[in-house]
Amino acid sequence: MVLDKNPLTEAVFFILLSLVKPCHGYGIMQFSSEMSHGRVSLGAGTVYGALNTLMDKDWISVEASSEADKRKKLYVITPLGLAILKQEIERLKELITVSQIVLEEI
Amino acid sequence: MELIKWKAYLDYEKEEKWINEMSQKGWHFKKYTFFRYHFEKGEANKYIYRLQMLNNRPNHIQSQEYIQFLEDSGIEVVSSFSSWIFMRQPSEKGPFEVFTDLTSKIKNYKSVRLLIGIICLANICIGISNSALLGSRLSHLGQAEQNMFSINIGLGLLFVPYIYRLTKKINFLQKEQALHE
Repeated sequence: MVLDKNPLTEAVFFILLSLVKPCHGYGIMQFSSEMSHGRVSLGAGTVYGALNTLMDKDWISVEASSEADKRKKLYVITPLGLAILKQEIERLKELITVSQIVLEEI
Repeated sequence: MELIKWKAYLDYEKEEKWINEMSQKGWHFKKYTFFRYHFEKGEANKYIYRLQMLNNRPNHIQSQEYIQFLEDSGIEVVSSFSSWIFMRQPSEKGPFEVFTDLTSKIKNYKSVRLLIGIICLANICIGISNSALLGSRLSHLGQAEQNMFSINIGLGLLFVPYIYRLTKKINFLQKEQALHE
């Protein structure tokens, strides 16, 4: 069953990937930068906007705010979000396979 | 050492550029009060500044969460005005951008354009309706009072070039979106 027909943006892809384990917003930005060796540098405004959209779609949820400060949110991927992420990875694998057939060198 | 500069900006990106130029010279923006920019002296090029229009005023719960998010990331919010915030990050941390992909950039420009558009339209409408309504009754007023309504219209028209520039930026980004992200 195809859950979502459209490719994910890189920002969304990295956000979902970083939230496989619960994470603060800042952790998401750091994870994306480190895992991509500095290539993907997500801006705070971009990430925050995406987080709200992803929560509306129930791909991520808020796990728990720290007791000390209710404004510091901890985000985590939902089962639906994980399914979307896995589907996206399958799509990317398919693209690699197709390109290998055409280009033969990779 | 402190410095206050009086300036008025329509275009927040030009405003941002000027604040960053001041920072490069060692003058770091600290606070904004009506048309006044307050600076304090420090080492040259210490900060990169960004301005952002929020969806709500800074004291709204959603804005507060965002500001907390920024501060957790090492971004300091130094001042605010209406629904705008002024933030900065130490230059040594590297490049600092608020919006890094096409979707969020377009959304931001559209929000700014909407706000500017409303102000522009409101001014023009106020100017026109007031001068039309009072038309014949204005003749007893002096020339100065009658000209007052042209100020509203003039102010409204001032925004038009900026709205045009924003539209060009939005269209450019949307074309890019057709190709990639």
